[in-house]
Amino acid sequence: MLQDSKTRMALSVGQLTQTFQSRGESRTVLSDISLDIREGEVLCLLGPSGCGKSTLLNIFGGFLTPGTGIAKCGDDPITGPRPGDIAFVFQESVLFPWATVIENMETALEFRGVPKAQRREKAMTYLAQVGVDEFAQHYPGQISGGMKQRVALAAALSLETPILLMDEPFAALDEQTRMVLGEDLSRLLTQTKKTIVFVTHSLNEAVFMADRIVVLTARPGRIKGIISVDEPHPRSPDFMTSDSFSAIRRDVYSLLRDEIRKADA
Amino acid sequence: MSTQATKDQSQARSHFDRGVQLGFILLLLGLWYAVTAFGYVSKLLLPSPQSVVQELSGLLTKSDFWFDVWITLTSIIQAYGLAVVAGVVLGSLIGQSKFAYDVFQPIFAGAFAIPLIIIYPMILYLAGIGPLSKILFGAIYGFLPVALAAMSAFANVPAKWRRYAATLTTNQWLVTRRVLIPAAIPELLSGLRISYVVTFASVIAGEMIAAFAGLGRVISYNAEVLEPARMYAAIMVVIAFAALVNSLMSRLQPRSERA
Ligand SMILES: Nc1ncnc2c1ncn2[C@@H]1O[C@H](COP(=O)(O)OP(=O)(O)O)[C@@H](O)[C@H]1O
Ligand SMILES: [Mg+2]
Repeated sequence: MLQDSKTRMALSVGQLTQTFQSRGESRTVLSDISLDIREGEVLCLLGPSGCGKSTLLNIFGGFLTPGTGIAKCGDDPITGPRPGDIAFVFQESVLFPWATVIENMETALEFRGVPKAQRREKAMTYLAQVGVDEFAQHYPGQISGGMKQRVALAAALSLETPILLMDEPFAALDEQTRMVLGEDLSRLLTQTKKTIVFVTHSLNEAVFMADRIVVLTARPGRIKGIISVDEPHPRSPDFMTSDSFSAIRRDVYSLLRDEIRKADA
Repeated sequence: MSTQATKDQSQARSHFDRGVQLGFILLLLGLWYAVTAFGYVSKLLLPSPQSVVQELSGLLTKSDFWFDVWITLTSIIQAYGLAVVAGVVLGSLIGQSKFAYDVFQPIFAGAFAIPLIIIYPMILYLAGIGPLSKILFGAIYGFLPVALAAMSAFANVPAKWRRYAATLTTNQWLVTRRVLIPAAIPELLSGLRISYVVTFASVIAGEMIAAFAGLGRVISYNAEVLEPARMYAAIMVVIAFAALVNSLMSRLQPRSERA
């Protein structure tokens, strides 16, 4: 009972510093990051390129072990990918080119141990949710980049994990497609109550989707500031033209601006 | 342009290609006939097509000849089977480990660069003059391109797929079956084709050098005893066999390449 009344943490890092060795040189990418991500929260990582956003997401995903500091999923230290807990949407397309869209979906479900008899229906349900069910029989090579990312999203959602990590999932898409997907996603995520951490370069996408926006400094990435967006989900397109949207967007941009200049210098 | 029109065009194009190819073969046959009919070349070097056809129909009715065909066929099948099984198993194991790949890839590639016919006399000492020596020689030579293709195919599976699979399951066998093997197949298939050509050539060459039976032996024997028409007839059988297998193999293409 006591447990329930507290806000539980889905993911957290404490005093995380990450240093890479490359060509005999050591380069600190993330410095002293402490962050608690609540269950059911949509959190966005924003910062100049090269500041360590992907590195942080990869640590949550279990692809990298933290240099110093600790990363946890719930109460467990993260020691590797956690297929039951965390789904990942990658920036690049990872769909298998030898399998159709529906076969790609079914393979992901097979990996999760979903019985064969249930795979097709489940796959079709999630494809329909992201609006690509009509392409079920196509090969990835036959559909556009936007469609591929939708399929990747459908696959990640179909795993029904409590946590979803997305590394610039829509970066390769044009602004319009991205906003449409963002809207769809906001609607979908409200239904599923997932904890979501995503990286983006788009201020609009960040403000539109996130409950909290974490702005990182230029490398080595530190937390420069955290901005909350107190707009309930699902968010309508009207939110984007509202005064509060512009105000938040301005706050985020003013945090980000200096860092982008530093990263360029 | 509509896709239908493009399709029609490419179909017409491929009919045209086929026509030119057929015309070329007919031209060669015509030339062959002409130079022999008018006596430009010695019958010993190039017998007339008619005499070759006559010898061919003679050979095809002899059980001795069919025994030779049988020996060659079974030798190739056994040699190729050994080459493929050993090459796929060893190559895929080596390809799983970067260390093993870095150690063995140069060794195998170096070995394949050697004209391995130089080890054939040793194999003859070891395995005798019967079919076994051809099977071993063909298997050793054909093993290398399969192993090389398999190790590179498995070593080069893009890291993004391994990472994606790691987010889905910890079951390595499932990952191998559903991701690594399908990803490796296109490169593996091209290795299998090279291996088949090499194995075929090795078995025939082995038979030509030292054997009691087999198509290679029929060719070299008839060359020795100055029966060029019969030699050419046996050559025709080898060519027909090669063409048949080649057309079957070119149909073996992975689904993703067709899509
Ligand atoms: N495995 C690695 N080895 C060495 N350097 C790395 C590695 N991964 C990332 N980096 C470096 O860390 C920095 C931050 O990378 P990344 O996290 O991808 O930035 P972002 O996603 O914010 O653009 C980059 O300079 C990159 O070159
Ligand atoms: Mg990145």
